[in-house]
Amino acid sequence: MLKAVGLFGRKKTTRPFKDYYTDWFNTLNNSLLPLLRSSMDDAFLPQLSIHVEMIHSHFQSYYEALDLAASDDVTQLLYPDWRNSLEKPFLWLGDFHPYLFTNLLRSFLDDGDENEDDDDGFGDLGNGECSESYELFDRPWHLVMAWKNPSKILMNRVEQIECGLRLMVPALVARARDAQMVFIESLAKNWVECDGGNKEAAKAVVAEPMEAQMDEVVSVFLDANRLRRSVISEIIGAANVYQAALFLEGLSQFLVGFKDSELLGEFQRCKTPLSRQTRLAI
Amino acid sequence: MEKDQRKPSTSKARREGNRKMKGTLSQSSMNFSRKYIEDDNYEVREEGKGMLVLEEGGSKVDDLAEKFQCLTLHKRDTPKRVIVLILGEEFFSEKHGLWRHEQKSRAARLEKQLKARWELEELIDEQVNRFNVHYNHAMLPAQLKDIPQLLMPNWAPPYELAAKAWLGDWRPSAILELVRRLFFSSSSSSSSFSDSNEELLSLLIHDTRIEETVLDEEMAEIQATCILHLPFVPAKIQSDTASLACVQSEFKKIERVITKAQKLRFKTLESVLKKVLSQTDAAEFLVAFEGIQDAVHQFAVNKTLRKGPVTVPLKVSGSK
Repeated sequence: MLKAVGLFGRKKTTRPFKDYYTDWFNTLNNSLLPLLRSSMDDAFLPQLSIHVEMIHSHFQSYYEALDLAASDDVTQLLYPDWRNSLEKPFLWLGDFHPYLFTNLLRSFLDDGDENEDDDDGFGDLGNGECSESYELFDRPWHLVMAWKNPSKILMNRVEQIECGLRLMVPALVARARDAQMVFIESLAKNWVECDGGNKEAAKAVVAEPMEAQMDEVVSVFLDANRLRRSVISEIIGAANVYQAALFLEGLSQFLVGFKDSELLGEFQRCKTPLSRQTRLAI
Repeated sequence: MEKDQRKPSTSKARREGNRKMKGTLSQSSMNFSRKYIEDDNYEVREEGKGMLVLEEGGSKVDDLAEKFQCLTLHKRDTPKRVIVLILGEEFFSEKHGLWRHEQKSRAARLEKQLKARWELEELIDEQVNRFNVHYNHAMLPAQLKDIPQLLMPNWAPPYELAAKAWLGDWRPSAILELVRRLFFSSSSSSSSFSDSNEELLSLLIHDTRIEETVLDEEMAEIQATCILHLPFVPAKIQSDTASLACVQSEFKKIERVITKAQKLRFKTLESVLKKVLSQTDAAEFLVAFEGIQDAVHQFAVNKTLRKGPVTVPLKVSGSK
């Protein structure tokens, strides 16, 4: 009886990450994003600041949760089954690529001065421009103008962030690869020693190198999260409230977009062979 | 001599033949004749194993027996000096006969081994072809929904994928590293390799790593810019049909990366089996590779079952 209570008590201190993520996403989608949008439309600065900060700390808490869960089992975080088929191919070390955040920022900057300079690759997307204009016309002036003539400080900051990423991202990829190499190395060593043939022995051959590898995988994963987290923080830190609001709205909307059930349904049902899809997509 | 005559062996026929030559043929043609007779013997023996036509060799033996009959009649006429010579010849020719016999049975054994080697070669070629079909045809995405399946396959537990996978399957440079550790490390017992093979392997590892990095960057580029192309950001929201077209175009890019990754995996395995490793080691590698894959998979399955779903402490903020 006591044991059962003990187990029950212990169980209560943790929950499946999948459930956590569902709640986290619903909070973002059902309350924080609508709150942010309504305060963006109202353009009441103090309220907007609060909602920007709320959504920002919501993202930060997600990365904190990922870090905490990593010590439990990093492998399930690297291959999360709670992400849908649309999302999975776009995950890099378990979540979005850190460049995704700076690219989102760049898209605002480039849209902001697209009248002057339209040859940097984003103008050719074309399709989006119409809807964007409609949406922007409906919005308060501060938001419409948020990315026009961004400050030198912001531009310098963005360049610094990108410069840091160019150094850190390849290093992380190399570390993830090296962790696998260390695993293979000690696995092969054990295999030669036990002569492989024996099934029971083979299991023992795998266990120790795999456990050892996971320590490094966890460390790579934590560093990848640190990078993602700090890129978001630095962008929010360097941007003004309107810019930050637009950035976080874009990021949240991007996450929400993956869960669009109609699109997901069409995606699953789509039988067109990939070999024929280039033409259709253009 | 009489004793010898009772031996019904082919070596007897040869000895008689030699004697006849001493008696009837000139000294100068002796060497040629002996060679001829030896060849006859060879043919007879080979015929006995069912490998050559009987008729020619068989009739020659009969000829020799006939000639031998003639020879015995003239035996007393042979000068003493020549008899001594013949005795020496006899001794060596008997040795030679045994030697030939031994050589032939050795050749037959070698041939058997060669056949086994050809069979091994066939098996390895077959395996290379299977890898080709698997990576360059069967495991390529055909539809949109195949792409997430191939990148995060549900037939391999996360533990297995984290340990060895790159873009959904074995990391090619990890396969090469495995080969190096299994066959080229000093502790390995079967180090029947030349330095050039080891150099080739090092070169292969170097090149494969570069190719992996190129594909990593290609994939990262897609993952980093998808936010600009997928129809989710407010500025890019579109009709449903246009949305699916955007998704298709992004997935098409990923399909190209997966295809190249599969190609690299096949190329790696093909090089290992056909260029880097000797035939026996290639076979040994295939056996070990299968065993290792199985061991890793089994361990990962058990580990995942025991572990259960990944958890997070309740105290984490932001979940409510």
